[in-house]
Amino acid sequence: MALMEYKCPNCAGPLTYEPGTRDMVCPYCDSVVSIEALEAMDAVLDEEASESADWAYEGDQWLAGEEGMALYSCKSCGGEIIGDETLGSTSCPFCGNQVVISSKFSGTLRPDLVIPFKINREEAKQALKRHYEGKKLLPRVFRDKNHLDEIKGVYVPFWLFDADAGVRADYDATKVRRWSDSHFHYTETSHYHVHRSGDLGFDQVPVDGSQAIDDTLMESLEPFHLQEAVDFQTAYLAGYFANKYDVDAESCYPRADERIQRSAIQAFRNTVRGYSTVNPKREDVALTNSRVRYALLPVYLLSTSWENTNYLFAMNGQTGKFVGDLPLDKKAYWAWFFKIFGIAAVILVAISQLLAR
Amino acid sequence: MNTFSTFTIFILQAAGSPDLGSRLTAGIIALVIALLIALIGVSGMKGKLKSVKKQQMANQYVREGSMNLKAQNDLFTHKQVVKRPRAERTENKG
Repeated sequence: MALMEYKCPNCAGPLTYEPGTRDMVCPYCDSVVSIEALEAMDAVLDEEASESADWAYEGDQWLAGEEGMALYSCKSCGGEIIGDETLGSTSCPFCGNQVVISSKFSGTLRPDLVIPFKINREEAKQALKRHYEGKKLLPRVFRDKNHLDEIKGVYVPFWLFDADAGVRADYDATKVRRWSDSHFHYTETSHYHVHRSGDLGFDQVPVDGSQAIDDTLMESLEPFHLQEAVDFQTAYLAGYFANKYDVDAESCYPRADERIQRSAIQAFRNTVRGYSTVNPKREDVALTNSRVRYALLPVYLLSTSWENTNYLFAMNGQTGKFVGDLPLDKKAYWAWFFKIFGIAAVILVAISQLLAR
Repeated sequence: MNTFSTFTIFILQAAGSPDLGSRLTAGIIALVIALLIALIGVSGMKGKLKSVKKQQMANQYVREGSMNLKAQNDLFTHKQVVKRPRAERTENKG
């Protein structure tokens, strides 16, 4: 199994990708190495890795119930790392060496694009603090005594779907006009048959290709600005976790299709203007020119536990958007309810009595 | 406590007045509105705790300038007119 390690040319320390740049840095001697330079070294590293017998995939030795696990041994220190079969990038827990299992991203498994991390870990921690701010019903103990169990920078595998949506839609619409004379009120309803057809293009609708990561959590992190995506280079993975996809594009397609169809229908319905009522009779969407690409997108996963419940937060490693559901303080909920009710009741009862006089 | 004491004073005052019914009705309506305001207020605060939501649409991935409306027909089919008599004004006498 081919593994890539990015070592500092100065001190042989493990290089890590520096968010928001095209450089890698050595945390020991502060050397900065450009990714362009490392690209040239990739071929050499590939050769070294393939010559090494130490790095071996030993999945067939696992017992029943342990399928899907793989054993890796670190070339630097010889330590053994047990990981999921989809594991693509990690660090050795014994020597801290950053490794990329390049075979997880080669051939048909090679991602087309990657959005490099722009936000660093410290900013992710600060974002968590900001996430707590202004939440009056968040338990004070959770806010004050909460400690992060773990913060992980992960490149999550996504499928990006392009498609042209061909829409044919028919609507029943009405225009209502009202007037009165000295004897009657009149309501005139004019009925129309409205037809629309045309196309609408969609680019890079993302669908999470990892089974382990909650799809709703990933969708909450959108949008990712895919125009900032770059061609995949394994160097970007150094210092972060990365998994290869374990949900294929075909399985993800229905989710993209569902979202594209809804948006296409809404876009065409928005062209039916000037009516009092609009009721769809038929809204057909056919997708053509579809194309799928494989990308790795940057996500920080932060977890914390409180009262035996694990809370998982995620941050978009490109835009800094932070999401994660928080616990409810029921006492604070009712305290605020009665506080608001009390103030509103006093004011409204007083006004009602003045008006009732 | 403020609410309760205000309401008690209002009841005691209203009991002595001839338009007790209308004042009681107004007071009860005010309390119901206050209850709704409190419910909306805490629901808003509770909603702030939830940020994980499924995306329903793909609007942000629409290709710029790709909307191509090939056919656009608005065909009038028919109309109907409903008339209802105006309510006659009743004059108060006496």
